[in-house]
Amino acid sequence: MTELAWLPVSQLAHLIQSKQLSPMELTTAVLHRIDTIDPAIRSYITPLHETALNLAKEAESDIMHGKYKGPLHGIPIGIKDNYDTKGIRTTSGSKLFANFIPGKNATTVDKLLDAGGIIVGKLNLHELALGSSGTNLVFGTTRNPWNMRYMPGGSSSGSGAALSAGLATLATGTDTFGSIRVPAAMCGIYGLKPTYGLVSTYGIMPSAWSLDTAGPMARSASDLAYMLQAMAGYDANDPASLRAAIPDYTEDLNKGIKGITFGIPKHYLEGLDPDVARLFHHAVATLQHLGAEIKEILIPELSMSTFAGYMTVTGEASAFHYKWLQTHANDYAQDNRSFLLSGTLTKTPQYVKAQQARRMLTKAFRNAFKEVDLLLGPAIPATTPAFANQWVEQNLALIRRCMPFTVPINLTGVPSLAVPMGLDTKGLPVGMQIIGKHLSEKQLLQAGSAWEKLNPLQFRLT
Amino acid sequence: MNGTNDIKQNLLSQALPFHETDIPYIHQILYTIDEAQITLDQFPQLNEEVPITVVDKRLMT
Repeated sequence: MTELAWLPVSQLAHLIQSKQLSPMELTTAVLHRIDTIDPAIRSYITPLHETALNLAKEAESDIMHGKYKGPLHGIPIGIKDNYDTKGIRTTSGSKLFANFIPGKNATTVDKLLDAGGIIVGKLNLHELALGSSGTNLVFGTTRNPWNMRYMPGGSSSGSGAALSAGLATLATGTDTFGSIRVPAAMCGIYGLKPTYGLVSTYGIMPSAWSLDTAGPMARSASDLAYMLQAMAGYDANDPASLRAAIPDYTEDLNKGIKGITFGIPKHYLEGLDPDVARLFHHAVATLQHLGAEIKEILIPELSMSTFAGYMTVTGEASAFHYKWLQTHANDYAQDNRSFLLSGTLTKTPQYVKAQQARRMLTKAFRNAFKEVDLLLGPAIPATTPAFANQWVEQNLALIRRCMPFTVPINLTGVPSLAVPMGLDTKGLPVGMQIIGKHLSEKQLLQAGSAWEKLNPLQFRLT
Repeated sequence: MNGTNDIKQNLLSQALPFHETDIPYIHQILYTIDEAQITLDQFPQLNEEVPITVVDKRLMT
C-alpha cells in the first residue's frame, strides 16, 4: 500500500490503464497516509475523503468501461488552497477567506478533473501565497517532512511537503516571487514555474497580477510534463492567457542534454551559503560530464531585480488588499500586514520605474538566450532554515535573501524548473533552477528529466 | 522620509490601521526598497524604456 504512494505517474498510469491497479486502491492508499502522517506535517488544510473516493469510483467505472482518459486518469492530486474549488472551502490560507466557498472551479482545476485527476485535498500555504517560510497561524504551520524542525518553504508549503511525504502524486502550486521553486528546493521535489500566461490563473486568488503564475509540482520532471500537459492552454477568462501552441511535453524526456549550452549568470554565484555553493559546483561538473556545455555569463540588469520585485509585488498586492487592510487589518498575520502596508507607502513613479526595469531585464534575458540555450543557478542562495521564534523577521529576511534569485523569472515571465541538487550537511534538500526562454518548457523538462535520471535524492519511505 | 512618524502619519492619512510593532518591519521593507533603488543609477538609459503594463489587447478590438 505504502509503495503505491511513491510511484511516478508513468508507472501508475500503466498499472491503471492495464487494470492491474484500481484508482480506488491508489486513492485509498494516499488518503490513509494523509490520515496517519499529515496531522504532524499539516500539509493539507482540507483533506477531501468523500470527494476523492467519489472521483476514484467514477474513474474506476470509466476505465472498466473502456473510457481511459490518459496518464492523469485516477492519479491523486493535491490542490493548493488558493485555487477555487466549486462547493469546497477555499481559504487562501487566510482568516479573511476562512469560510469562502467558491461557486465554480478555477480553470486549471476543471482541466485536471477533465484529465481524470483525483482531488485528494486542499493544500496548506503561506497566508495569501505571500511568504517564503510556510508559516500559517490560522491553519497550522506546515513542517518539512525531511526534518520537522525545519521550514518547508513557501508559499506552496503544503504542496512541497505533501509530495515529499508521499501524501499526493502531484500537486498544484502558484509562483509570484518564488512560491513554487522555494518549497521545491526546501522539500527536495520538482517544481515548474511556467511562462507567464501559459497556464490560466482564472479562479486563483491574485497575489500580484502581472507576476502570478500557476504551475505543476511533482517528484520528478517527467511527472511535471504529464501535469503541465493537462494544465496548459489558452483560457478566454484570463486576460493574461497566451494563445500558444501546446507541444507534447513528454516527447523529449529521454533525449538527454548532450550539446545543450547552459549559461550561469555571475549574479547567481554571489552570496551563496557554503553548502549551496558546494552542491551547485558539483551539479555543474555533473552536467558537463553528461555532455552539456557550461558558460559563465553577465546579465548586469539582474541587479535591478530586487527593486523591481519588491515594488511590483508590494504595489500590486496592496492594491488588491487595500479595502481589507482598512477594515480587517487584524485578520492578516503580522508579516503580511507589514509587507502589504509597505506597498501603500511607496511612490507611483517608483512602481513605474520598476516596470521600466522589467522591460530592460526582459530584453537582457532575450539577448542571453541568443548566446546560450538555458540558464542555470541555485534555486535560492540559502540552505533550509529551522523555524525561529522570531517568525515575522525570519520570513521577511528570507524573502529579502531569496528575491534576487527567484523574482527575475517572474519579472521577465520566463519559465524556470526547480530540481533537487542533493542534501546539505544537516540532511536537508537543496535545489537549483534551470531557466529557459519564453515557452521553452519542453526543453526545460528534457533537461530536468536528464538530471532526474541521476537520482540526486533518494526519497525516503516514511 | 521613511522615519517612524512619517510611516505612521501616512498610514493614518489613508485610514489604514496598524500595530505599533508593525512599524519596524515596514521600515525595514522600505529601507530594502530604497537601497535596491540605487542599482537603477547604473542604467542611465532606463528612462528610454516603456513600462511593462498589464494590457488586455482584446479590449481594444
